[in-house]
Amino acid sequence: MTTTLGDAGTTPTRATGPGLPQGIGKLTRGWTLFMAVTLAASLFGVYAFFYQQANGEIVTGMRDVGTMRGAPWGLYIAFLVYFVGVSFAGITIAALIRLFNLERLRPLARMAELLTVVSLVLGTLAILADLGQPVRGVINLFRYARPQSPFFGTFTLVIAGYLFASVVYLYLGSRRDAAIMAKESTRLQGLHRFVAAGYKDTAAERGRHETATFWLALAIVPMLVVAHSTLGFVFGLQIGRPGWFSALQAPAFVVLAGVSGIGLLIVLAAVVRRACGEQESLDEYVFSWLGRLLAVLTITYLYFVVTEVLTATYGGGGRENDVTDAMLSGRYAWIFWGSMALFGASLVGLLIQILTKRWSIGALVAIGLAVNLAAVGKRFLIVVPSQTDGMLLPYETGSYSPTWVEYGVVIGLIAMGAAAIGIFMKLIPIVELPEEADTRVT
Amino acid sequence: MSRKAISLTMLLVGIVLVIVSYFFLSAPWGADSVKNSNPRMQFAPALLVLGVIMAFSSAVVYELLPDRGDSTPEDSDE
Repeated sequence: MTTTLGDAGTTPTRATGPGLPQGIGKLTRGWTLFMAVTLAASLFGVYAFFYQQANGEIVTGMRDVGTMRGAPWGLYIAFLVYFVGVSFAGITIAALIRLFNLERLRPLARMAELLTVVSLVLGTLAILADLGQPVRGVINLFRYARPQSPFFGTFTLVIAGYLFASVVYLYLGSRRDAAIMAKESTRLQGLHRFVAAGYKDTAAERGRHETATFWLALAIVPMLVVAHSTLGFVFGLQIGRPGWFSALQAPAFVVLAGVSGIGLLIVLAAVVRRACGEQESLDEYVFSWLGRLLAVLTITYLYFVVTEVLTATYGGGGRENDVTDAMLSGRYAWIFWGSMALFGASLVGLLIQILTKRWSIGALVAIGLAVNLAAVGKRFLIVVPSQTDGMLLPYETGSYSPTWVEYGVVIGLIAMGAAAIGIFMKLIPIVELPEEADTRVT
Repeated sequence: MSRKAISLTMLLVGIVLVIVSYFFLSAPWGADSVKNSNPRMQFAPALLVLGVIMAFSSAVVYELLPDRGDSTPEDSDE
């Protein structure tokens, strides 16, 4: 799909077909059905959330540790960690593409940025769902929070700074395409003009854009490593919680974030390729690059898991062993071994494609989904077993089972994210429009 | 004031806000007593967030603000 603008002052021309490129503004039957399903699921999530607000957190499976023999951090926190993890890969890929001029991967940049923004918003909503008093929580965070705390780092660096930086990055990158779209007299012209904000694609504007995005990318890359490590420190610095207290938490968080994010990016790229007819720009090279990166990250993460489990089983103390036993052979074993099987099968699938140099986008999508399912399982295992089985005080072992309210909120969040991406795809090109020799917007 | 100067000012003010709110207005380093856990100024964390937002907003200003002091031939020929 190519879109060109005529010279300054002339009517724009389009190389292929009538209407805006990438199906923008076109409400197809498939898209409408997709939106109906995701919006229905989102409404269910909203209902579950307000049901919880009206009745209190007693309607969830979360309980205090110790006397109530439960876990105060459950599915919401597991998905907060998962969503923030997904955001990592998106903005990393986008920043690396700009920093190192990876031209052939440029079609991935915007969808990667979008994935980051959407997943960070979902992470924010997940943490709000976890709070009994969300409004009070937000106000007191800005009023009293202690910046030295990893919790504060998670909320400010991750959610405020990182989300804001990603929104700026996404917006500035979208202006040129919005300006091209605004040349067309469509129902979306007003929106495109607003987003373009006077962009004319002059050499000076391009230069400024290159400078701004380069420095933004340079600022974002170290910030996102700090942000994700901080989230790992929330768990890794808790001395009194066997299973969490570990120097490997922060790096393992970053690597698993990469695994889940790249996996989801593969899925999104495949959907965009098919839905927007972007077979040329999102070619085999793009998918093979993502596949190779995913293989390296999966191997690294499995190495971390082996190291962690080996250390805990070899030298762990009494309660440390309880957590490990619960994970390896107790009631969480099916999640642990299920996740490991998914990681293992995905790695085998990737290695076969790397060695044979034959890439299947369908297989990569299946692998992307599998590693995400495994990542959700691992996030759950990071959060929950240490609370139910890792007490240093002489309490009995606890338990945690999410209720329909928690499942409803999480399903609603995922659906909201999918709907947001679906809506974006109908408003702004999700794949950057190709560079043309003379595309000045007038 | 040129666009570049405004952007740089925003960036610097943002960074200064982050540093001041983190080191001088928030809760001090050290956890030896309960009194150390409160910020020296309420809403200091909000200032830190504001600083981060201002620093990144400078990129938007740099791209969007029309040129006044340092316009280039490419701009003017439009």
